[in-house]
Amino acid sequence: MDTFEQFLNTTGEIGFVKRISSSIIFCDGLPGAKLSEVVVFENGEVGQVFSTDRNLVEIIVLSKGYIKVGTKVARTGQTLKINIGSHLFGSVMSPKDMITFEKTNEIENRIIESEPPGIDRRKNINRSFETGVAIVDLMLPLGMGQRELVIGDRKTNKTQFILQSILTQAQKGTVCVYAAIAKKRTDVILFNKFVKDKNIADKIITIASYPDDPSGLIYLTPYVAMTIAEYFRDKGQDVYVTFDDLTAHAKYYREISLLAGRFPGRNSYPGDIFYLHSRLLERAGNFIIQGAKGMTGEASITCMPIAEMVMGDFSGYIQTNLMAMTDGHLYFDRDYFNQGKRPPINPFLSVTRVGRQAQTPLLRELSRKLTSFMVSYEKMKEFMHFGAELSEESQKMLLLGDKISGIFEQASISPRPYSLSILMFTTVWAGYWQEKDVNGLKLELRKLTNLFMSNEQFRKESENVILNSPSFNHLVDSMKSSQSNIIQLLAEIK
Amino acid sequence: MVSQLLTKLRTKDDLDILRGELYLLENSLYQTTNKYDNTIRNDIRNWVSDILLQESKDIDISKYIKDLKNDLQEIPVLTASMNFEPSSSFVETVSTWIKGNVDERIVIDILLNTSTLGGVQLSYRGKYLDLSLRKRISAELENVTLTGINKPGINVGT
Repeated sequence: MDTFEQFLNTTGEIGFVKRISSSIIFCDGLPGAKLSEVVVFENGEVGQVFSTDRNLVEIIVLSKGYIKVGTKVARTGQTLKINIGSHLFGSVMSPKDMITFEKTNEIENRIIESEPPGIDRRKNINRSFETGVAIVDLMLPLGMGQRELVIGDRKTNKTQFILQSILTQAQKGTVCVYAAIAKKRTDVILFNKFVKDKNIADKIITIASYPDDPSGLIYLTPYVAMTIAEYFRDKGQDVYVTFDDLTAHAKYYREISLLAGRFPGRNSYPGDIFYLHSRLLERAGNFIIQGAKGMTGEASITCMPIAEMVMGDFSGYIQTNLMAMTDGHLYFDRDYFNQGKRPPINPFLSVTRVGRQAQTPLLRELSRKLTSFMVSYEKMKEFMHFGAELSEESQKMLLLGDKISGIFEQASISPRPYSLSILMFTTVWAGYWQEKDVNGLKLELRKLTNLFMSNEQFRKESENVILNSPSFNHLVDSMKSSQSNIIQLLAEIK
Repeated sequence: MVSQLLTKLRTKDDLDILRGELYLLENSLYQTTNKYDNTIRNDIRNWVSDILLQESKDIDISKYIKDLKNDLQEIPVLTASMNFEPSSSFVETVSTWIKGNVDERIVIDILLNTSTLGGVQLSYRGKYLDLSLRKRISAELENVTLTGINKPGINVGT
């Protein structure tokens, strides 16, 4: 007996397709159908109940098959479940491949719609999250369990930033879940190639849906990714999940809602679009985990949704919604991109709300000093536009600002360890290479990077100095005292 | 009040034919004067036209047809899948019993499905009941196989 007949006999209910409206199907019958319940069509296709009324049931189709009017539909009595396990690592999965009705012992099944944990299961964010991108780690620090929106125009290196942070986190042992929502196949293939090339496949799970997939499947993609993240969180592992991107997700949900005849609101989005995204992002955070024998631990889901904006318009509907439900945003500035800044993150229009609380006092002080200096530097640059004659001190400040901006220049896929970023900034702040111009400084910094990466002893000593410095001034003093040694070491590097 | 026409319908085919007749009649109302009379005399089955003329005697005919069409939308259909094509007397017997015991308006939609082997699969207002021989045999076969494998001393495949 096939699955369809089994379900017919189990639930004792049947429906017939009455009307088809692209990815939404209206069917009569199924008197006991519940919201979000999975239904199976006679030809083996799968759908999910989207809404019910007195006479008809609205179903979102989750597969590409051909369904015609009159096709039989059976209830399953189950909400959508997916198979999760360590077999997912390194593979690119479509949500469709993971949907299951069967229970096995080896692989766990999870319902993709779960209630976000309450305040009793949450914990303050107290561990810093390293992205490997110097400007973020130093000026806009993030914490494990933070929800940080990545926002910017299209083609402004947002995905590059995500790749960099995934690489950094995967190398540190964090489980990374990448949800590609309606992405081009080539993009997903390139991502997978990147994962394989960097040997981090054992830490990455990719959930991908493509533009030619049914809208229902695209709509499910981020929920599937979050469910996987929750599975590994419950196993006590830190998880980093990215949604690339939620504006596309919102567009597909708008399509579904309009086809279902829902009343359109602002920009034709349905009224529940905020709820749709907020209930997803609310599932991320830092959590208390109950371990074996009553032991409690801590595990986090750090979430970075991406939002695409149009011509730098911050006031878009979905963009502002997402800003309202995250703990800050990183703004990828089109102007910075055009000026050649990489990564083009605008630190003055970016926000991090909880990341600073996870920093050590030293880093907090460093971050504060750096931010305040950069603000003064930007003001001074604007002042210069009036053609003002500058004092020697101001000129020094501008040069230092240019040099510090140079520290933040970072090639696409080259994560920079936290301690190296601190080392670079402190050496420049301490007055190393004062006689050099910005280009000369960049060359020295490249040498410093090589030294740090290749010389283990130097790396360990530097990390010790950073770790044991009680304050930023102390750290700068330590750097000043070891200036000659470091310069000598750098001179040996060609 | 339920029209006599509705109580006389037996199968879904009857229902579809009646719908077609009402469509013809409705169209003829808005054509030449004699068109309606011609249609009801020549294009409609006798028993249908008799009831129509009788029930629409003192009322607006267009409203009567419209109401009737609306009532036809609401007619409950019992779908029955069987592995043989039933005779009209068989259908008559079943329909009479159903109309007498369930709902006088109900019509039967008979589908030929040889894979049921015997018995019937019924669906009505979203409820489904499989009384087919196929289901019984499948269940029996499952039991037989499992019992055979679980029995000690039996080597499967030898």
